Amino acid sequence: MAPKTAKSPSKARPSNPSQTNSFDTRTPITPELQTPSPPNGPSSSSSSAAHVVPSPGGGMPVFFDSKGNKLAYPVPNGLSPAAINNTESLLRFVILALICGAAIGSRLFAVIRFESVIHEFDPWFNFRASKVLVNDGFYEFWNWFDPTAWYPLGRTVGTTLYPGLMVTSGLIWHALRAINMPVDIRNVCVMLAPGFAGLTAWSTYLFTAEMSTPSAGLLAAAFIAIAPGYISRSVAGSYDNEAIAIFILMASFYSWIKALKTGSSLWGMVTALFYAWMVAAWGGYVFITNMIPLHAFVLILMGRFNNRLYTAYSSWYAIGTIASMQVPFVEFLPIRTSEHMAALGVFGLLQLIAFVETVRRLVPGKQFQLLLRAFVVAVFVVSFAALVVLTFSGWIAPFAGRFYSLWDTGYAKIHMPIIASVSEHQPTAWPSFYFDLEMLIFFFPAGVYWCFKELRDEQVFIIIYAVLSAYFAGVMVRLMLVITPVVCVSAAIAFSKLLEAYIDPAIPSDAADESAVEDQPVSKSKAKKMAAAKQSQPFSFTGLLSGKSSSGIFALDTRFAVVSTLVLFLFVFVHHCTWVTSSAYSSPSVVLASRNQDGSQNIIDDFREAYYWIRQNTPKDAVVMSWWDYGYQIAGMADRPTLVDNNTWNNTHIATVGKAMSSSEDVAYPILRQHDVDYVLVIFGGLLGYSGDDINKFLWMVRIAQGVWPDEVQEVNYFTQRGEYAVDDRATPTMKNSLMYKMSYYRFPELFGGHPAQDRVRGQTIPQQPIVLDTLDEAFTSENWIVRIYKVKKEDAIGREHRAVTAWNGGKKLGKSASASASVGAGVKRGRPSM
Amino acid sequence: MRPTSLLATPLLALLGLVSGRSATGDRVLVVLEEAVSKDDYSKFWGSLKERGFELTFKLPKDKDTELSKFGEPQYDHLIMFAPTTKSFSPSLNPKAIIHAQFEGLNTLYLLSPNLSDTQREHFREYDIEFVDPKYTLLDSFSYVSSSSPSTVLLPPTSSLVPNPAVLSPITLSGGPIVYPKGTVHTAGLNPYLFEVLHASKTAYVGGEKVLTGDEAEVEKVVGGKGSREPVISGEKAALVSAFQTRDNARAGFVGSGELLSDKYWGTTVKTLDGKSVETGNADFVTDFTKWVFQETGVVKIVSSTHSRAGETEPREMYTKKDDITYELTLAQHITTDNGTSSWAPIQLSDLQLDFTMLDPHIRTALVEDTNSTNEVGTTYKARFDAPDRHGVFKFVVEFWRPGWSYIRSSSTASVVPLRHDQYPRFITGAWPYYIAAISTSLTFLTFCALWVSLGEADRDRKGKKKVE
Repeated sequence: MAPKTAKSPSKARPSNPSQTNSFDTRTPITPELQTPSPPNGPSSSSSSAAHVVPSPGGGMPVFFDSKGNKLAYPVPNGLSPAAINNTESLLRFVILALICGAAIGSRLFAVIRFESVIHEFDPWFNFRASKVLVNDGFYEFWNWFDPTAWYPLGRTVGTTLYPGLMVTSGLIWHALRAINMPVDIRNVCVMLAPGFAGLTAWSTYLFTAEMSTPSAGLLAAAFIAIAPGYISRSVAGSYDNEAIAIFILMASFYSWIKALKTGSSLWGMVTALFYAWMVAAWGGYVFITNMIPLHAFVLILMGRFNNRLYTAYSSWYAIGTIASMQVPFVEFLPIRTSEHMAALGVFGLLQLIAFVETVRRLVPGKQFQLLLRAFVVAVFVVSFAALVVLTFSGWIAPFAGRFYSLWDTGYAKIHMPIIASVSEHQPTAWPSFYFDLEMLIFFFPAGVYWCFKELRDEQVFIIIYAVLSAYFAGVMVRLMLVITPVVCVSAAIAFSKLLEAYIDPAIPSDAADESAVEDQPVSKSKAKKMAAAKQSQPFSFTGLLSGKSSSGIFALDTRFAVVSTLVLFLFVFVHHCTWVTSSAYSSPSVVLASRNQDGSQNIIDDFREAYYWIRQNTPKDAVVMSWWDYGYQIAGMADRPTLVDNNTWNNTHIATVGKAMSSSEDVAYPILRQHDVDYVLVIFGGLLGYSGDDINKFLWMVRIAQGVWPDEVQEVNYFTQRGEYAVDDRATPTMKNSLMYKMSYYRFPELFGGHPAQDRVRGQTIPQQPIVLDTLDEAFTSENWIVRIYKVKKEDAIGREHRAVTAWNGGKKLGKSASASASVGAGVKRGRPSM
Repeated sequence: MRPTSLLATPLLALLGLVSGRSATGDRVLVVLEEAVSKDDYSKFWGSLKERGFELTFKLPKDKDTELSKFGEPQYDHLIMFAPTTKSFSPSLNPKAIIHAQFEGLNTLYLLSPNLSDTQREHFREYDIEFVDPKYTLLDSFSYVSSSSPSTVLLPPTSSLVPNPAVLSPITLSGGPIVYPKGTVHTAGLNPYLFEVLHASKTAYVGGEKVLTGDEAEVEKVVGGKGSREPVISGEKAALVSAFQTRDNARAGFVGSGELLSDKYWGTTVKTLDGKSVETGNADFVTDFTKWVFQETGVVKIVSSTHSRAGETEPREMYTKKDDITYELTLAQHITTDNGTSSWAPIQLSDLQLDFTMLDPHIRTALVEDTNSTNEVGTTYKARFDAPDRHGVFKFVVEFWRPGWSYIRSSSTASVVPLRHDQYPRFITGAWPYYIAAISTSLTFLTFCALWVSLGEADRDRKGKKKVE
């Protein structure tokens, strides 16, 4: 591990926990005082040479530093402070550079293994938007109306997306072109996340260095560089908002701390600019919007209000809010929604307190001050009441559904199946904490403890951040990403404290006193005596619990044992992170890989095969219906209009698709025709054992459809009598007649040539009875049957029902005309044909 | 809108001049079963040839008959005169014919009471149910006096469904139509199907035993308890029906093939009253075949275009509240006096346009544009404001009148919100905000100026005090 080498040998003193250990403020060793001092004098005089006193008893050699402190092992002396400083900064720079390299390198598995391809779902949209940005220019992008998304509703993309990511990569693309490096926009997009991961490591270093020591900063940078919790969202090709958001998050936190420490409005403005970038880039900006006010509020409650806080917060809030309102998607949200009210409230509170403080300084008198305090409280209460009234009267939007689901994890499942259906909105399973953070999760509380020990303003920030994000990460898998930086920072603090304590060559001074006074000429008998005397002494705590500052490590073997264990931890951590990244987080999910029996890799490229089939074989305006998961991919790769996509803004539209998928053909067909659907695409994993297929997602379609049409679609009907979700013989008629079931298993048993048709995902046998599709024609099935595409038939040219057409084509004859015999006498009027 | 169709229009007109008068083509395949004598219908064949059609005669089982070759249709129209045939050659069986109809084949079915089961089943696909075999239309009050009551005389005014697209005024006011030994069907609810000729009130369906003119006896058979099953009678008995598929291919069902025979083609018959009347068969058959073979009632879309008011080029995107003009040019197929076919204007008063996204957002009348400079056809125009709703909209015109070609036009355009620079810069209503912003800025600047200057003065004073 690189950061260990950052442990400078010149760190001769156990750092006082209550002080910042900054190298710059260290008093330089005066060179003129170079007289050797006696070893028994723990005096202030310093020497340039380390003294080695071999112990006559054959024990450990004892070393002394320039100040005469006892050392456990020799350290080079006589280095000029300038040299030490320079070496340190050079080392820091080199280490940080290496960490950035590691951060980028460990994210390239997917590119090396597969190719430089955009991953998953959302990135495909971001990529498409980026292409619009660089091809058509910024204003076209800004006003982009996409008629192919959410057909036929369309999507005003420019005002419903966070443009930060695309603008960032667009700027990079232009910058590269400006220096005559014409890079394909795709490669910029693919490599954006790793590049920003390097920057994240750097900003985490800065942030942690503000909290603790630069060496902790280096550790934190190393941790965040390879922590799987962050890598999961930032591998090459994962071109999503989070790719740049975490860097901006850390950078804005760093500049906030800096602003708070210095009380400079310049830093406040830097925070605001980073905040604005964050608002433009990621919906998770609300985290900053609430984190900083909460920090300020806690500081006020702790009685730590000062002008630095006032300046930092006010400049951040004023500039940051105005800047954030420039994003079209956000616009007036900062003054219209509950999520942003905390920031506004704290801003008001700060003004109030600042005003009161000013008045108080000018006007003496106890009663008057009491009045002022009452005034503060009254204004606070009144404005809070006003807020509540405004919220209820509808002026201020209440919390969005996603935020409610943060408080009540069951809320989404009942009220918003669309949100609950997203796997990354599920509550986190405990093992995933270890999976994503490995040993850091154990060091995390220790680091928070250290922050409690020191409890300066910035440590309060870490504590709040830790508590909040720990809660959020427990509620939603997706928010693991938010906790990862603070885990890295606080684990790095704990880790570096441990390392500092155990690598520190100095032997504690009071022990040095004792040994110096009592056993100068060490003999065995005396030592024994001393030990006995020690034992007779009353018991007292040592170490942290003793409350003495003179805690420390005496023996070399202890140091060795602990340090080597920690090093082992670090090695295991690196190993774990690499393994997790390589095995779990580096799959593009557009291209799948499997192992053949001989161990060679088998690439499953069904998705792209199918999307390119659509692209090349269907008219440009053919509407493709699929579940919303594949909307962005179809738009990005197949370039065709879709009904719904991953921007799940219209629940009804999604429910319409869900209803079409979960109903029988008779119900589904009018829906398909009304929406001009030409092709229906389903993902079927039963042949290959690909478990993320539509049949497994099917219940969510049913639930979402049920939310809108509770009378027509009922989840119960899709379960067997015994409550099982079956696709074999036991499947209910509703299930078997649903469009999704039919499309998934259409002609599937034929593949097995009379043998039982085994669905490898569900492990069930599909009935041999052939499935009849009346309103759809199979148009395409990919190599491994993962993607199946069906063409929607037009209305029959001679006005028959599709079922009748199928029957007639199958050779069945009608015994009686459909309506001719019935219509005799019954005054039924002919309807209008559907056109 | 579609430059290709515009280009093709004069070309089509040219083709029409050269060949027959049908809008689609002039190759007619006539399938005659052996029982039918070709010579008995020579006047009918003659009238078709006169109208420019090329007739090819085949037997139902001729192996070399091909409706389409290498995907290319070999015939434009088909006359199927083989009611009793049970099995056809593969290219003439019901499936092949329905398939060919999907491709645009127009078919005229000439039938008889002895309809084979194969064909009954075939016709059920069109939602037509024929009465049992051997049953014919009978009318004891109106038949050709020299014949039996099964040679029914149908007065045109009461039995023809007056449809201007199909029937000419001459036919509607002409002589009675002789309907000899014909079968009867009922037309179902299929919206593509409509009746052309039905029986008169006194007619009914019966077996071999012809009822006399005794009303009581007829009543007994038709509606009494002794009747075996409901028997169709009166105007409910459809005799000739027409069918137009979704794609405007046409089919005609004539319940009696003999209706076309030379015997009644432009001849005179005697009614029961002893009056001698000229039959209307020739006129009726001509009208009906003209319709089936796409000579009358054919309307086509010459062009459909939309644009912003004042512009000419159609846009893919309109802004909300844009003033949009939609124009649709329709032309009607006519046969000129000198026997050539051409496209002419068509006057419609009930054409309307839907501007729809899932549901029609705007539904407005398309009014004839008299200022239009179109070469062919009539231009209909609608002008409206785009709705205040963004989305992918369709200009939909659907004109569905039985007999006429279905007019179905749909073109897509998006309605988008205003661009960022299309909003008004300064709004009068926002002056309070402007004033607030300006006054705050000015106050802040004044405050800063005061602060700086007063602060300087303070320091100076302090400095002076110290000096003192």
